[in-house]
Amino acid sequence: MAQSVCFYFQVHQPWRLSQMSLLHPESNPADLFVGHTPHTNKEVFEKVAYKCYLPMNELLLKLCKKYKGFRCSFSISGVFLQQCEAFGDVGMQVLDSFQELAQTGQVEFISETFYHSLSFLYSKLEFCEQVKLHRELIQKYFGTNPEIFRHTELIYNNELASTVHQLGYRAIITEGWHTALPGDNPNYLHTAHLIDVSKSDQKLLKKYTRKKSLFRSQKHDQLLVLSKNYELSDDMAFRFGDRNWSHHPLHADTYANWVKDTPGDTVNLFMDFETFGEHQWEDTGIFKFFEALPKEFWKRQIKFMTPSETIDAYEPQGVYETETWVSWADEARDISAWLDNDLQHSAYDVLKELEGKLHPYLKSKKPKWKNLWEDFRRLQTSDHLYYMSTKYWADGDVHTYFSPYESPYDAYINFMGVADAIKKQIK
Amino acid sequence: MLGWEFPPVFSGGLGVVTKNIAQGMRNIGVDLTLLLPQFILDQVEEVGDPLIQKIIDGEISSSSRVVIDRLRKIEIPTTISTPYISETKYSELLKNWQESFSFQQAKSADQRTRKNIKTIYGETLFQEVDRFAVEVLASTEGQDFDVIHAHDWITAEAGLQLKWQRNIPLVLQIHATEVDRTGNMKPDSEIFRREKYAMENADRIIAVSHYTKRILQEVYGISGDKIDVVHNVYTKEKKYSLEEQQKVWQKDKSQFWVLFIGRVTLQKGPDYFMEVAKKVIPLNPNIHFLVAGDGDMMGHMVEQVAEHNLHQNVHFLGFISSYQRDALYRFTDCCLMPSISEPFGLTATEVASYRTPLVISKNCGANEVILHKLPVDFWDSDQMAEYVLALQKYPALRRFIRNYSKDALPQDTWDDKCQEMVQSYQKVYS
Repeated sequence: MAQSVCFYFQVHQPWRLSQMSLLHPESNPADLFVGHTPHTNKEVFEKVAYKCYLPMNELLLKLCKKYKGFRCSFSISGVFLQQCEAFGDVGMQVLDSFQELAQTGQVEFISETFYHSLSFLYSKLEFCEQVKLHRELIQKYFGTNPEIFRHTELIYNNELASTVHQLGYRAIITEGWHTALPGDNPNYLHTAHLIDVSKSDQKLLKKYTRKKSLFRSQKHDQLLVLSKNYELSDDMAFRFGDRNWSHHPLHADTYANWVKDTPGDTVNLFMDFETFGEHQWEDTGIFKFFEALPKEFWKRQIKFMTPSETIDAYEPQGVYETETWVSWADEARDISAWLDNDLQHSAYDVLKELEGKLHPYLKSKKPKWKNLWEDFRRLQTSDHLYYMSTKYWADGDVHTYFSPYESPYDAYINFMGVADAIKKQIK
Repeated sequence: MLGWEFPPVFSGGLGVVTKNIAQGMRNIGVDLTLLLPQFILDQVEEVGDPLIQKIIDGEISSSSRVVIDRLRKIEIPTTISTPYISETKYSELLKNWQESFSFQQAKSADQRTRKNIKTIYGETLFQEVDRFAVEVLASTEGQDFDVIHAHDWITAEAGLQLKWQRNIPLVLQIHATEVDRTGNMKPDSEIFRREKYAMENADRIIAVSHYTKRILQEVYGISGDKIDVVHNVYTKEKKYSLEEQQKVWQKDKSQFWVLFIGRVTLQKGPDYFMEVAKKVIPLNPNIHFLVAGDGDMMGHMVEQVAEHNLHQNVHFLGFISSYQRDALYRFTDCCLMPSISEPFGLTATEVASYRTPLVISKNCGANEVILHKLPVDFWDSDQMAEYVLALQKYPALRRFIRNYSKDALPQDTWDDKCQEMVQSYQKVYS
């Protein structure tokens, strides 16, 4: 029976692209990341801030203050924190609310790529750079040096795990997908299957290895794996407000019973932070549900733990192993949500091409190159490729829900427009 | 079934649909009697089904009433030559027709035709439609049917008469409304009134798309509960090899072809096509605009080309044969369909089945069955131009649509669609 829960919330907003025109190129904006009509990025951010970030952080702060045993963790993308900085008072309020949570000491912050990108797939150097930039940012705002890593959309394979291990992380967050899990049980701690990293990669990774904490327990020279319990996570993240769901309306006591009855040590509840108030609106009762959870958990002797506490508390049971990509997206749990059709491959090729062209200017201090790198990196955010997915398009599913575009074609055409604008400046 | 244009004369028109439904109904075992306008028999186009061909050829029976398997055909004399006719056009045609027949052909005409000439046709289209209804009643005297299936307003009156006089339920299928034909600018009030009246009095309505269903609900005020949607089906009939087709059209590899195909009339939005040409050509002289078809707006189109000096890049092909058309789809890089209102638009599914990227008006029912296309508001020539430029510039976009468009089309046959129509019939009795 499970003894603890581990909450990790993903906090992210992409820099949606500005509307580009082939017909009137002269009217294309200089700022390539204003957002897409009808809503600018600022408007989207403000909307989600009022519906989700501010009220949920207020609730979490309340829970932290009220219950010393309450814990949760965040992975906040760099582009999200950039938007906090850029969007005035609301942005500052949101940032403050996360910082207040950090000060309670009950909340853990997790490492990821600054730009919420798929850079690992096309450039180890770019991946390392983005991880480093993100680490510096988390240090700056929250005063911590994360020990746990989370890769974009929980995309994972043995090679990625080995790279993350080399970078000096203690654990990684993944999807609890049966093809990778021994015994198909995500509720135990596992170790990653580490493979040899090439000499040249080793040399590169050495330069980017995180400074290890003095107190770091050297429990096996291993990378530990925290895998998501997607059944119980999705009950909250996807099904909670669904009136056709047989368990609707879901109450905290029922949910706590489910967690208690789950075989294993830890139930890892990983989800988008926007679940609270954005994906599940306030009128579904999601906030009240969450507020009632701690008591119901403790009644059943279930503790809250951060990822770091979880890996200290339990012994790993077997190896999490996958050569092919695993992620937390769609039914397939692979990377086909971002990299499947011709449009996505074409856009991906453009990213590789841009990386090659900008590579010589990586360390340039000149504003022109710094700006171009910034634009290119914002273009690497995985959401842009996600909008081009046609896999489940016909069913009008989540891809459509999150996309600012009317169709995957529009997403592709606009992406190419921005890429062209960047290319033009490189010349 | 009160049909039109059987066998089909106007490709892509109601005639093709009548033929397909007749064949489908026969295949699924429906005991079908076709009530048809008789004028058309001399203008037969080839029809795939040998049995029906025989009926048409008169090999099986030379009388006007034919019974083969479960397909009976009754011809009704009328001067309405096409379901798309307008009132003015009707009066004109009637006059010409009467003149030409009385002087030149009366002598040589066979007995049937001579009999027709004696018939007193309605002086106006509406009178003729009403007279046609009376003829239908007379021709079906003593026969019983479980259901009447009528198409659009021209046969609706006959359907209503049968319903009332014989107490037979009426299912009215709507392929096009006056709102579509006029782009909802100045719908003919008499036709509109007749359509509305027929729909209100029909027992059930079959619409060819959800788009049309919405028009029936929103413009005609018909209850959605009464309307079933049965999409049309496009069946590719002929295949030519690439080598054969290359002989038909010569295209330079640097060129990018944008095609308009269909009647050059207000409803199809040729004006917007021309707007796009005007915007795109100055930006990229490799993009060519082809107009295949003819219609009352041709003169206007030609003037536009002259006025804006676009003759290097805009090409008028006139009417083209189905052979030329099939070949053209292959060479076309983008088909632009800016229809103001298109209940279904079989041409669009035809284009998709040839894997030609399609920029298509959102006011087109075929959108509902074509997954991979670039939808636009018909008036938004800027957006159409953006799509044309993007298709030209990004090969991956073309490749993607070509790879997936055809496979994403529904695999239904006309037999399946007839089953759906029969389900609609059955609702009348439930």
